[in-house]
Amino acid sequence: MQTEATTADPNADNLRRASIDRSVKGPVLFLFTNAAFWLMASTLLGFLAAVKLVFPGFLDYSILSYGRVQPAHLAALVYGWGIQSGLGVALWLMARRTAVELKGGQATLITLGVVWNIAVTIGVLGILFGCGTSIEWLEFPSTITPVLLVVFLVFAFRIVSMVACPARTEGFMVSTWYITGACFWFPWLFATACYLLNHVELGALGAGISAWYVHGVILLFFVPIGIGSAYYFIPKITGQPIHSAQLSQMGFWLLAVFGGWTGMQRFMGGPIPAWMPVVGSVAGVLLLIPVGIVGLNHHLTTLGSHKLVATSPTLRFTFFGALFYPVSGVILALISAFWTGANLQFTHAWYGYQIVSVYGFFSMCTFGAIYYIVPRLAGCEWLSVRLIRNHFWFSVYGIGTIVVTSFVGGLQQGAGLNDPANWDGTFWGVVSNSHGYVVARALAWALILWSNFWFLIHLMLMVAGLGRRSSSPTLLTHEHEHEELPLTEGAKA
Amino acid sequence: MTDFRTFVLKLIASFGLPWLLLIIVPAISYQGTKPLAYDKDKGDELDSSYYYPLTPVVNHQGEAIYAAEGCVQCHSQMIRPPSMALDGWRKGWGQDQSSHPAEPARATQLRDYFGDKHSFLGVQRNGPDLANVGYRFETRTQVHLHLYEPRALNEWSVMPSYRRLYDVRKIQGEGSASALPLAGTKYEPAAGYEVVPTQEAEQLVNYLLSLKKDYPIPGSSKAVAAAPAAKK
Repeated sequence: MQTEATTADPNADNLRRASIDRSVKGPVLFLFTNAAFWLMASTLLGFLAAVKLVFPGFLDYSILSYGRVQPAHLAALVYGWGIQSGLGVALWLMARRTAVELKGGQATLITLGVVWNIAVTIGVLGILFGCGTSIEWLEFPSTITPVLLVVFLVFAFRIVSMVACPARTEGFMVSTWYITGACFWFPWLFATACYLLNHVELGALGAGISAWYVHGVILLFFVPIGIGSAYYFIPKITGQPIHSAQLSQMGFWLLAVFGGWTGMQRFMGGPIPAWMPVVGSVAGVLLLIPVGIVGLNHHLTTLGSHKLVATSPTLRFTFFGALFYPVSGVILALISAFWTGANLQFTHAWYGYQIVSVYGFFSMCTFGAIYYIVPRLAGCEWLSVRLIRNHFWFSVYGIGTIVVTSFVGGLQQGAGLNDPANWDGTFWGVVSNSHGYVVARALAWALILWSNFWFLIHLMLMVAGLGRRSSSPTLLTHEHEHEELPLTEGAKA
Repeated sequence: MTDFRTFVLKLIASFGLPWLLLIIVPAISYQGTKPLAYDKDKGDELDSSYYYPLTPVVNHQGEAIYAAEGCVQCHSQMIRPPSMALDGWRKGWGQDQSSHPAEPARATQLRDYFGDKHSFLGVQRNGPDLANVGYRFETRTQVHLHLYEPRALNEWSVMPSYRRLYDVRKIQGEGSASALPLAGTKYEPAAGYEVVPTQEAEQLVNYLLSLKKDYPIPGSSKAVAAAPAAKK
């Protein structure tokens, strides 16, 4: 997993890369653009849901009640943005990493992408119009889930078949491991959860399985794609090889081994057999080990190149995304351990965990990847440094606010629920205590909405080929610093 | 290529184990779980002609509306044991509705959810737990009022109002017997009109009133109150 292997003729290398990029251009740009639309939609719904939690009378239509907007918000974030953009990153990265061109079938992939988006649209509208199932992260009407599964499988098959017979085997392949893992795990999780939860009567056990599914999607799809992308871009841009191949292998296998056991701890003290939450809790805490290993490895790889974090948009987003990974690991451990989890159960902390993993960690890494990939596919450079900066700062502060307020608000909510002084009181205390935190969340989503709007415009201009025609990449430097522009990204393009 | 095959086998093994042991085997064994019989000889209040759970028939129409409206986003249906949390002691969360119950509400168990297609144990608690909400309301009308306009009962409530489940219509003759008593409140409909629950609202209320899990299970002689939940 070093920088691209250098051959005798640098130009041949560039031509090879260009033809790989050309082969995946259509599907990848399609996925990114649509995903960015869904991200906008999800942000808007997240803002609305937060407002509704304080002012239920705001836009008082039955299709916009909190119980429908909140699941629609997360469904749009997970299926519209997360999985779609994740597939885009996985497809490009795998093609580049294995040096295999996508031979034919681009039109099929784009068609399937259209099908995916139609299915997600039907699903989100279905939730809003009262056909939701209220099964966490599977709220979509159950009839559309097979469509999603088939589309994902075709994409996953194309991606995995690249790594099955790679044209280039030198270098360490940990990114491809993570992406292959994600392509295997997600359909497995999704098919199991959809079948069992929609078609088998499981009572309380079903709730445990749906919690297992949510944790599985986070830990075995979003996390691997995020780490895979970070493992690819950090060495590529810093020009340093990954610090330790051994650490990255350990990190991968520990995630693979523990990831599938978590989830049921969400219902600790609940009606499912007691050993299930215990196992989930143990795995949730043990996951701190792979989190620590990956964090350490990324830290050691970036050491000494922190200046590049300031200038390269890709590295900046990836670096902060990678910073959110340990944060999400710690929050998971805290909500998993019985010691702290009993207090955080059924509070805003759970929302905070979903957002820090899907948005804070995964999406920041994906933004980093998009800032690298799109110029190479669209053949032009990002138009505006200011828009990228704007996107970065609003995202970091926005997500930071949501995560902190959700977690602290969750602590307070849990303390209120468990405070003996309140036992014969009304629920008003618990409700009023979290108002401040929820208002902060609404403001944060509003800020993120602003930045995502410009991100979408920027991306659409790029996809339309209206970017800057230049041989130098758009780096986050001020005008007067241009003489000392580090050409790392351009040199390797 | 062989490398790749080993890799895939390792992937399958690492995830297949939890998949099988944590999901598939319990899901299959759940299908064989049977109700338990009460036994007077062992100290139960009911004889062996009664089984736990007492009310395994779930109102699926009401449950579907509960799901479609996303009630689970704010209301849990799960009482944790007193050793872990205060749930059982909170006022109104068990069978004993007094503010200082003698016993905490019983922690919910697997069999309490028999018959549910998918139990809505909870996402967040932005509102109170509903595992035993059936004991909480004295009349159907109260539940209807709460659904139609939550702030009619509690000024501070942040629950959305479910007006969509109610018809506002012109009073015909005597007026409907099930019309909500809104006269004198600020949610009163225009003169000559009344608010009547739709079929969906009635189903949802049936479902909510059927949520009564806090009764003694076989083998636990500590009864919270004499009568089990069978009576509606």
